Amino acid sequence: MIRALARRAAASVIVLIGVATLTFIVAFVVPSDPARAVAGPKADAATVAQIRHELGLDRSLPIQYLSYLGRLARGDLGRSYITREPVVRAIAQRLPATAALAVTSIALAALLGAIAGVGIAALNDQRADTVLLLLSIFGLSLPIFWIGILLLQVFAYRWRLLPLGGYGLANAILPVTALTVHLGSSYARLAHSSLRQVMEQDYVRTAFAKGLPAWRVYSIHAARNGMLPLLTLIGIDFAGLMGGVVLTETVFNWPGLGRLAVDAVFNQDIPLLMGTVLFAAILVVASNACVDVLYALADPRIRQE
Amino acid sequence: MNDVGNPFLKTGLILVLLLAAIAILAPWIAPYDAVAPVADSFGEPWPPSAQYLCGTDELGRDVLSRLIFGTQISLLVAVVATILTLVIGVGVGAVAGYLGGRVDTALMRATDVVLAFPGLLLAIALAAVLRPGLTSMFTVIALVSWTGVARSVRSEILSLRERDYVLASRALGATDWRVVSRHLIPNTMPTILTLAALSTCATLLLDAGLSFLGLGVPVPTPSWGRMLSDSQSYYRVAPWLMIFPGLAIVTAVLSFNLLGYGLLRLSEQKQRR
Amino acid sequence: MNGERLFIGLLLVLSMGCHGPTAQGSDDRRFLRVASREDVPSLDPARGYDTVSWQFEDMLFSTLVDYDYDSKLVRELALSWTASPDGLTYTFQLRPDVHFSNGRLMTAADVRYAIERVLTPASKSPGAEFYRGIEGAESCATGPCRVDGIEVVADDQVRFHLRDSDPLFLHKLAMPFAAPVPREVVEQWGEDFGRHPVGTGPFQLQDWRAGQRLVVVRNPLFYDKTRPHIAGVVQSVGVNRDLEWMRYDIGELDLSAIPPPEYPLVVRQPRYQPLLRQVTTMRTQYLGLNCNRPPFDDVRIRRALNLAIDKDKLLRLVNRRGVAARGILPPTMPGYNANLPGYEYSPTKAREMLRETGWHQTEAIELWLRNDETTVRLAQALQQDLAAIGFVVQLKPVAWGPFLDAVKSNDLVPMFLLGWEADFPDPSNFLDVLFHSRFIGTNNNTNYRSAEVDEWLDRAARMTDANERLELLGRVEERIIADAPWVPLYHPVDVEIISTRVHDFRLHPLRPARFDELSLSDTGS
Repeated sequence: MIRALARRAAASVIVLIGVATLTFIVAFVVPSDPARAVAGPKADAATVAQIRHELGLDRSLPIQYLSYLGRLARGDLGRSYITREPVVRAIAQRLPATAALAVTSIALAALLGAIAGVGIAALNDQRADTVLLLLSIFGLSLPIFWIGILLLQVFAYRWRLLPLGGYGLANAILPVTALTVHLGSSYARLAHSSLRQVMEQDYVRTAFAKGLPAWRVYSIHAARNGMLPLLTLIGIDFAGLMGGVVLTETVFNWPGLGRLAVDAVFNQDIPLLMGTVLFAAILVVASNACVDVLYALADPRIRQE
Repeated sequence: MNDVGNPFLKTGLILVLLLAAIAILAPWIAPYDAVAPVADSFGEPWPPSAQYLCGTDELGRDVLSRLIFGTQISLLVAVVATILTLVIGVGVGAVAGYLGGRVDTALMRATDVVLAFPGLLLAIALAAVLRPGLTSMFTVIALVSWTGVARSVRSEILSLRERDYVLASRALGATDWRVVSRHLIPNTMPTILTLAALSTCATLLLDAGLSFLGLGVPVPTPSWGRMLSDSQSYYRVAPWLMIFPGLAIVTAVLSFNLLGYGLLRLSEQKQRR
Repeated sequence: MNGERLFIGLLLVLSMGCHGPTAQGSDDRRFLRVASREDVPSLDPARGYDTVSWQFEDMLFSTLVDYDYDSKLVRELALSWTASPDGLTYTFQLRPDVHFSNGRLMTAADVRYAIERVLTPASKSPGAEFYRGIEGAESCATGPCRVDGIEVVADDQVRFHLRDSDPLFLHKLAMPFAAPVPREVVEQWGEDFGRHPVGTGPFQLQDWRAGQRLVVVRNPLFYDKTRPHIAGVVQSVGVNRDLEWMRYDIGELDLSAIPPPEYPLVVRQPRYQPLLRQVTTMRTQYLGLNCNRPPFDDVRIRRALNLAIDKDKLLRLVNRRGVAARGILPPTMPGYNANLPGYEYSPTKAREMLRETGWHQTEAIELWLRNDETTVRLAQALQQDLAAIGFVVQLKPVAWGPFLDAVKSNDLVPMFLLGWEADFPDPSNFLDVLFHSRFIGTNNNTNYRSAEVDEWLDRAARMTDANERLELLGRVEERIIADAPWVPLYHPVDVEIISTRVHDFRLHPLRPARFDELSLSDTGS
């Protein structure tokens, strides 16, 4: 078990170095000069050269790469080219907004999705199954930014019920709704199909045959075994969302990590871009590792392996 | 439920064929040019009318014609990017699954690296770096989406590798290439087809998302995502500019989703039998 | 575990509620409420070089001289100034009663320190070039920065010694780069001074939540006790143009731009009429033609393109918020020539002229532009017009940084869509920096080169008689129009709308709008 954990950790570190390298490559394949973006449209060549030098962009790529890795190892993500703010602080400031959005939407989507999926599966009615599937497929086919604009148009602009984007409690309702529609569709489908599979297993049939009340069968057997895939998916989604809900944050002007990253791309703010991407990747890697460990703990067969 | 009666597959197939027909016949069925101005509506788009069924945009262009030509572009991006995705994904997955050992570990680590990136963010960063254009769109989408395919194909191949007929043909001295191309890949075909349909959906949405952020196929080429993004600020005064392209995207994604789900069901039913 | 997650979620949501922009307190009504898409890039006057930064730097800092609404220089921190007849020495008498918002008295040494700081390479200031003409400025590039050309005569008197006479020098001192900053605070915060700015302006920073909002409040130590008339300004960040307008419309903002789609509807509504404020900016939008690259090395083709563009159509795309450009200089600029003939729109003549050159298009020519909504829209209109005369153009929208980089490289970009905004109300700020051959590689992006124009511009730079100088510069403009390295498109008119409770608000042609002179009434939305 411990050896397996150590192997897992080593693999995670390798992946993280890979991520750091890939980010560096993407950032520096940029065919243009970030110093120009920093200096703005009017600065003369001398000013741009000076800024380039101060940012260390005139050093050779291998040297920049090594110093970049060295700083990473110390947990230093550098400072934004544009605002000169430490990247770590910029991320920390945006994190709560993204976290609030991600946690609320996932919790809601999981709750609603599980209820819908389990409920419909328990009905054991083929027509209901088909309707659920169609709805979930439809929900997954909606581009999230399109739902976002429609929601804004109707609820915020036409009917003036909710704020037009921005940060706050009431402002969160529309983005959470958009995300919940999206996530809930896939959770409902997954909950439904894994429950159907579990219900066809012999031990569940036996439990029914023994005359156990339906709710006990569902809560004891089906829920425990059927919800594992759902938990996995939620774990993956959570990490993904924490890395920035790019489109939703853009549509609703939610001050989270996704918008920070997009702005960094457009401003060629390389330290900020690398920082946000790395942060997101670390979350994904960590959450994958956690899911693996949880699986191992939950499933005795894996534990013994 | 029998195969022929699989309603998802049937509906999906019909819709996809319909879209393909629109794309191919675009020059004949579009009422106007998609790029040149046809109405005097600069700065103030015209609402749908008998003459312009879906209205005109702020540059005097006919929205319906742009939607129809947009089908070409959006499907082209989706299909080519999906094929690229499959080529990379199936290639990596098959090699990793079949050879196993160090190669497998190395390839799967590489997959993990790409998988660890937030997909859209990586796509945005890449799209911002590359020269805007169709080729860049294909490349960006394929580069961020092959990982899922690679993983599924690998696990499929891992399980097929130990089947009797594979072991038998290897015992008979078949080359690795022959085993992979004649036995393993054909047997993963149902999975690959399903993945293809589902990854087309993902591609359509990714393309739309990138275009929405202004990074898609450059103007004035009509792609649905682009049209949506261009109409962002017009959505209050000219909602037809955003509703129609949005519906087009939803329809296309829905079609491929239905097709993909239908295929999935089909292969499940076959396995059960 | 699920319970725990829910709990964390609840905590986050609750904490958000407390920090939300609604928790303003009872003073809410005395604050001006504005919004912007981007966060303020910097509040460090040495660094910011964009409209949003300058808007807020103007509130927090003051400069020796400033502009009135006709873009004439007026005194601000300086009570008076004198220039020597040879134009090499400027002496300023400073107000004796100016305090930084941290309570310390501002002296001439702070003026000197601020400019030395801008000149120091480590501060990466985009404004360094403006002060390199001061004697001793070159010392900053190599060693410790000691600009002997800035002489601290007394605590309230400072004198500048220039290497060459510079008709723009006073204007350069009106830029926020030259605003006095307190050395001890700068050194305390280092790179973070922009987050903890201390200046001599009418406001001081109270709260800045990155990506959310920025609050400035009245500076009680400001030297002019009659200003500002409001308690402060709350800027919501991350509000794009659409949201800004919608929030204005439901009474959440006091000031907003109007998105192009809404504009025609807005101007037709009588209730909005008295709330509109507008100003013609000192900007020119133009299509740049790279004179080094075929086919634009042929002046006839450049002229043909000038005839092909329907500027009226462009103006319709921006809802007529602009003045069609016949020449280079904007109408609010001294030396503007209202009688310049320019080029009339005539696609037939353009087509004919193109045919006469015998040039044959073999492939589409790339038109580079910045990837933002309005620019992309304008570029498509240009593309349509050029297609109509048989000139095929391919659009290349790229991000701002790469765009600038490409445009400034000699050979990459055949044609580009760009605007220029004056830093100084002086025609040389267009004609010199954009067309003199020594600015090739910097701001002369069309690689336009004319020995005669160069010579005239050099002569104008040494002239002391303002009228003669303007006349010569007028000749320069006519000559450039004839040589047609640009297709001048239009001069944007900025339009903002205010809420009914805002009074005495004006837009400035050269600088971002200022908030220290307006007042808020208790009534109105």
